[in-house]
Amino acid sequence: MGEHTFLGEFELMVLLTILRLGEEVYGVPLARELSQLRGREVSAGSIYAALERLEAKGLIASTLGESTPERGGRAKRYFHVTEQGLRTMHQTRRLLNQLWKTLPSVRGDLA
Amino acid sequence: MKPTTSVAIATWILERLRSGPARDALVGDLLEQLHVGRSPGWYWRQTLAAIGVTAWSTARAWAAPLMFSVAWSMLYPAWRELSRGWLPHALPNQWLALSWPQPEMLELSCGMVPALTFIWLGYLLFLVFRSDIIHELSALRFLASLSASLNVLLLSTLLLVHHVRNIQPGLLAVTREDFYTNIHLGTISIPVALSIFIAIWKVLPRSQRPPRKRRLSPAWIAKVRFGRYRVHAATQGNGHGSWYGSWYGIWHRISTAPVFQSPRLPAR
Repeated sequence: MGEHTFLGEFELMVLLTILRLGEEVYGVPLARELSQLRGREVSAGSIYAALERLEAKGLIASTLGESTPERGGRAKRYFHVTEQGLRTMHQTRRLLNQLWKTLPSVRGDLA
Repeated sequence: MKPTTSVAIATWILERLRSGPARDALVGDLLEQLHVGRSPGWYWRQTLAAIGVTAWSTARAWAAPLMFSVAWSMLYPAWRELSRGWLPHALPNQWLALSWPQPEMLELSCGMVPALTFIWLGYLLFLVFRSDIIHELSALRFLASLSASLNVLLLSTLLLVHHVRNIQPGLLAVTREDFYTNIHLGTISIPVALSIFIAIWKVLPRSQRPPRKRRLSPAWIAKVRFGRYRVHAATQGNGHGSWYGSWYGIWHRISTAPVFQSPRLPAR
């Protein structure tokens, strides 16, 4: 399944941000980081939709953490990238690099 | 309206309209950010965005099954033509002489078998092209989907028999070639399309289905009975943290209540 999984732009950003933030990350810091990176607010709903898709593909896994009164008793859900997720990210990176290398004129213009 | 009431309403709506395994975590994240200074207006915007994202992904997930069901049902008249030679379409005369209820049941079967064969053929064809569904499909769920489509067709058949009773009374109407196209939308046979769609819907991943309405949740009951008691470690590693955690909380509180503790023996 993983060999044929392709990542969308937002999914790739979410995966990279999880890696960037560390081993275990939950929705609030993820949303904050993504908003800073993109320069505009990213809704929690779209982040969780991407996270659920990635988890369904086996690219990330989650565990439930502690629940606090300020969260209304809802447990945090911590996410981490799986081995399959790492492989898929590398495949996507290789594919994108190859595609960029085939466009010398565009690469020159953008540089 | 008080801000707390406004947030409670938004949470209530979000919990009912947002499906998926991470719903509770999403609500918790929003409440946490509200607690550190976000406004109720921000909370509402996030809630509506989350519902919109869910509705969009659900619509996208449903579009293909719905379009396939509609398109496949349009081929039903052609299927009747093709299958005329090798599927039962009418009851042999000698069977009509049998006593009740055998002729009626046989008439019903003769009418439904071609339609059901067509529906299940289309359903299997859809599954062949959706390897992601087959990957997660259990035998029980597959049988349940076949059963659901059969039930829908049976119910449609009974409604249609009632609908066409003025033209042809009795179950003999079921064996007519145009029976299932009596309720139609253009060239779409609604009973056939509905039956295929229900079968496909039953095997769609749960995250692509709309959320079910829940009865009173154990979390709510626990809150009412035991105040704002919360559990932490018990929610590790399962997809129903708040439910399981709450029941664990009840058990933990009961089992650790002083009345259930063994009396300590006096030190010698």
